[in-house]
Formats: sequence, structure tokens, C-alpha cells
Amino acid sequence: MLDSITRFAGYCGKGMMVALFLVALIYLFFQEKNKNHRMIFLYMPVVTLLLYFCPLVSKLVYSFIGEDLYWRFLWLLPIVVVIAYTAVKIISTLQGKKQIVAGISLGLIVILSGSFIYRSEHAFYAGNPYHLPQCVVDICEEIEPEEGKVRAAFPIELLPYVRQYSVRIEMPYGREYILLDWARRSELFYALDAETLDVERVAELARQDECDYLVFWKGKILNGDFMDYGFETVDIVGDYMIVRDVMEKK
Amino acid sequence: MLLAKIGILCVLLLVIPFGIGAGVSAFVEKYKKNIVFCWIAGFLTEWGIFQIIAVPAIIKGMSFSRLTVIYVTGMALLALLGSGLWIMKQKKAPGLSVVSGGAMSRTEKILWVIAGLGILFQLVMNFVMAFEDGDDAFYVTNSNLAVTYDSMYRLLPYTFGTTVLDYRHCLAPFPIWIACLAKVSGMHPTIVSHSVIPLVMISLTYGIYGLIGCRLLEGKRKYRPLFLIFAELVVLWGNYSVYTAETFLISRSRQGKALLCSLVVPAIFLLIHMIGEKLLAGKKVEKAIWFLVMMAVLTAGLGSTMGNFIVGLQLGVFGICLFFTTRKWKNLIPVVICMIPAVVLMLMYVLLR
Repeated sequence: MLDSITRFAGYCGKGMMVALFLVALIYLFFQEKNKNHRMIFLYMPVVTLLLYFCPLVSKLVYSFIGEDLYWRFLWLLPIVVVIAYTAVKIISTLQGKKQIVAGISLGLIVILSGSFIYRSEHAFYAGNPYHLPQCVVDICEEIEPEEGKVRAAFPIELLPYVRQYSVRIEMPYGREYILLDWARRSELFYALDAETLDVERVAELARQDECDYLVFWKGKILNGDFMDYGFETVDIVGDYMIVRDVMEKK
Repeated sequence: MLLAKIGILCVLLLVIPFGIGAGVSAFVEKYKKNIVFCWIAGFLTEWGIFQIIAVPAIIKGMSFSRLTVIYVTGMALLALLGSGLWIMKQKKAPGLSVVSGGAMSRTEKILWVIAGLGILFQLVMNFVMAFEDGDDAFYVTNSNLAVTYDSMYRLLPYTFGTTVLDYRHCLAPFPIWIACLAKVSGMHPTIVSHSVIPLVMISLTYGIYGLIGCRLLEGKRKYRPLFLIFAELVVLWGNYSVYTAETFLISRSRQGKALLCSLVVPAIFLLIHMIGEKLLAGKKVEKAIWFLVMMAVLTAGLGSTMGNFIVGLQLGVFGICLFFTTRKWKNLIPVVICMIPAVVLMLMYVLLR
């Protein structure tokens, strides 16, 4: 029960929109006369909430979908429809200018109860139709082969994007390094993540992992020259330097 | 070239779903002339059928290109058949409409314009703004892998390399449906996922909200655009947590989870509201509506393996409420039948994982 409440609070988040939804349900309980409207948009959400908070149900659901995803149960609450309908229902009971005042006030209440989606910390202006960071597109275009595939190691901040653009680029490690708390990440990852690159070690590890390319932040301090270890600089794209293993081609 | 790609996408996302939906809607008395309902019904049917074809195809190891040919050809034929059926059924009452009934007042027109501009704003914003989400590295890359390597759920999306069939995700192959669009249109799967799909999902979702609003406000036509405006406000300010269906609709619309929570769940609310109206009036529910409920259940599975559970629960709660309102257990039989695809897919998940 406590778990369900915690997850419900997590779903409610920082706004008052769910509270507004509950108030709207109370309003509909007293004001809605249509049997069908009541059944679908009043009784159903109430039964859903009762089931959600029922310990027996949560135990059963946990065993099937796991505790972490229990909050998805709450997707069954028709929050948009119930709030919008209640607002319109209130406005329709009024006349003349009172309708305009009520409409603006209710609109403001909705706005103040929520959080504007386009101000999300995850939203940013897309520089291209792929909606990927432009530097990823540019780097991939630089190293992507027309046929076959290449293998390249990237810094952690670019891992989720590379293969969205091109699956012809293999990676020795990928987004799983961000997603999961890996106890043992690959040595190449740590070597390439260090503030000062031990060039000899990075070159050796890259070759062990059969990497054709290495991509790293251009501001990193290098304790040697990649050319001495069979690598050549391909380009500097945005904030990133690309080097290629040319050992076999020599 | 770009225009040709856009043209093909328009055929796939507008013409074909509309043709299929017209065929289904022809059998729904109240909505046979409603263009929005036709479009939504077309998509639900298309997605439901894709789920039926794609899951066995993936498990059997069929190539992606073969699946695409079968699916797209089938849908094109269904669209022709649907259009034919609609024309035959409409001979006595031609013409399409979005909103029926007499002339609109000036206020009503202004409110419709505001509602329309609100939707347009969201479409433009979702085209010009990117929403970062790590799960794209899995879903979008799977679409990309299908198009590039002609393989479905047998390659590792994060790095590379072959793997055994990913049973958990192959039961919800929404990324493969996106890949089909990319393959046929020639557009990059990532562009289809990030720039095209949100436009379709947002439009469809507001179509569903619009239809629900029209039903709730029957006899109060002038308030319908106001309902849509409030719905838009709730969606736009719906990012009060990262878990909400509204957040998923705007920021993760290319993912199957968004298809489930922001489109299928409201679509089922629309359909069961139609069913409830008929049953409470003691009338018979058209088979086409039950068919669409079943297609919506299959679509939920297409979006997410958990969708089978979520919509199963939604229909279960509807069944409980319906029984206590009508006191007729016979009304529950079609509800239970509609849940069968969800139960089958859940069993497959349990047995195969």
C-alpha cells in the first residue's frame, strides 16, 4: 500500500493536475446526470484508483510486470478528458460575461497546476530532422562507410545517438553503459574517459577491441602523439577529435 | 526526391488509413460520414493487422523486406476494398463531414480557430524541437537495423553483433512498423521516428479527444471547441512528472509506450463510450465497433508488451462497471472476447521469455 502511494505521488509529480482531476471527479459525481458519461468517466476512474491502491491487486500486478512499472497502471486515468469536460460543464452553466471570466480562470488554474512540456529539461531546438546532436551527424558522416561497417569508440555523452544515425558504425560499448550501473566497464572506456589520455595505452586497447576509429573531446590532454602508434587524425568535428587506425594500411 | 518521399508518406499515413477506416466506418451508423473517425479507425485496423502479421513473421525469422511487401500490399488492397465498401454504403447519403448540423456562430468559429492553432502549434513545435530520451537508442536503432540489415530483433541495437531473438521486445514491434514506413518511402528511419511520427500521433490523439468531446457535449455543440482547447491546455501543461501520458505524447511519441498511453487508451475510452451508449439504451452494438475494440487491443500490444495488461485491465474495469450499471452478464461476452488477443500475447510473453 505504501509503495502504491509513493508511486502515485511520483506520478503526481510537482504539479496539482492530478488533484485537479480528483476534484473534477467529485464535481462530476454531483453534477453529471448522463448514465453513460458517469459509467465511463466517473465510475471507471474510481474503480481503477481503488484497484491501484488495493494491496492484493498490487501484489498480483507486481508479480507480472514488476514493481518498477506499477505506475503505468495510472495511464488508465482519463485525466485530459475529465478535466476538460468538467471545465466546459462549469462554463456551460453560466451566462454572458461570466462564461468568459470562468473560462479564463479555469484555463489559468490548469496552467498553474501543471508544467509546460516545451520547457522540459530534455527539450531543445533540433538542428536537423534527425533530432540528433549535429556533431553526431557530422562525425557519423565522416566515418560511416558506404558498404560494410566500421567500429568506433565514442565518449559516453554520444553513445545513445550514434547508432540512431548509422548502424554501419559498430561500437565496443554502447548505451548500456549509461543505462546500467556496470561494475566492470571496458578498459578502453576508462582509458578514453580519462582527463589525460595515455595515448599508447588507448591505442593498444583500441586495437584489442578492433576499433577503426576513436572519437574523444578535443580538449583532452594527450601524453603522446597518436601518429607514433599507427593512428592518424581524420578531422576535428565540433568539440570532438576523430583519429583512425591506419596500421594495416601502412 | 524529397517531395516523392513526402508524397509516399502521405499515401501511407493519410490515404491508406483513410481508405481502410472508411470501410470499417461504413458499418458504424453514427460515424460513417465522419472523416476523423475514418482516419482513426483506419490506423487502429492497420496497426492491429500489423501486429497479427509481424509477431509470427519475426519469430519465424522472415526477412524485414518480405514483411514490408506483404504488409504494404495487404494494406493497399484493404484500402481499396474499404473505399469500395464505403462508396457502396454511401450511395444514399453521399458526402463527408467533420461536424454535422447547421451554421456556426462567430464565437464558435473563433474557438475552433483557437483550437486548431493550438494543435498546429504543437505540430510545429514537435517538428522543430527535439526531445532527448535514452530509450530511442533502443527503439529507433531497431528500426534502423531492420532497414539497413533486413533483420528484425536479431541484432544488438546498442553495439552490434548477432543475438538470439529478443522475445521481450519482438512481441511489441512498433519500431518495425516505423521501419516499414521508412523502407517504402526511402526516408531515413530516424527522420521518420523523430520528425514524422509525432505529427501523426499528436493529430490522431486530438482527433480522438475531439470525438470524445463531441460525444460528451452532444446537444451543446458550441462548447465542443472549448473542450478541445482545455484538452490542449492539460496536454501542454501535462509535464508535471515524467510518467504522465501527456509527457509521453509530446516528448516520446515515436515510442510504442506513447502509442499505448496517449492514443490506444483514449481510443478505447471513445469506443467503450459508444458501446455504453448503445447498451444503456437497450440497443445492439454494431459489430464494427467491437472489431475496432479488438484492433485497439492488438495495437496496445504492438506498442508495448505491457499494453496487453493495461488494456486488458481497462476492458476489465469497463466490464465491471457495465455489469453493475446494466445488470446483464450477457453484455460481458463481447468484452471478454475482445480481451483474447491481449491474453494470448501475455501468455506468449510468459512462455517465451
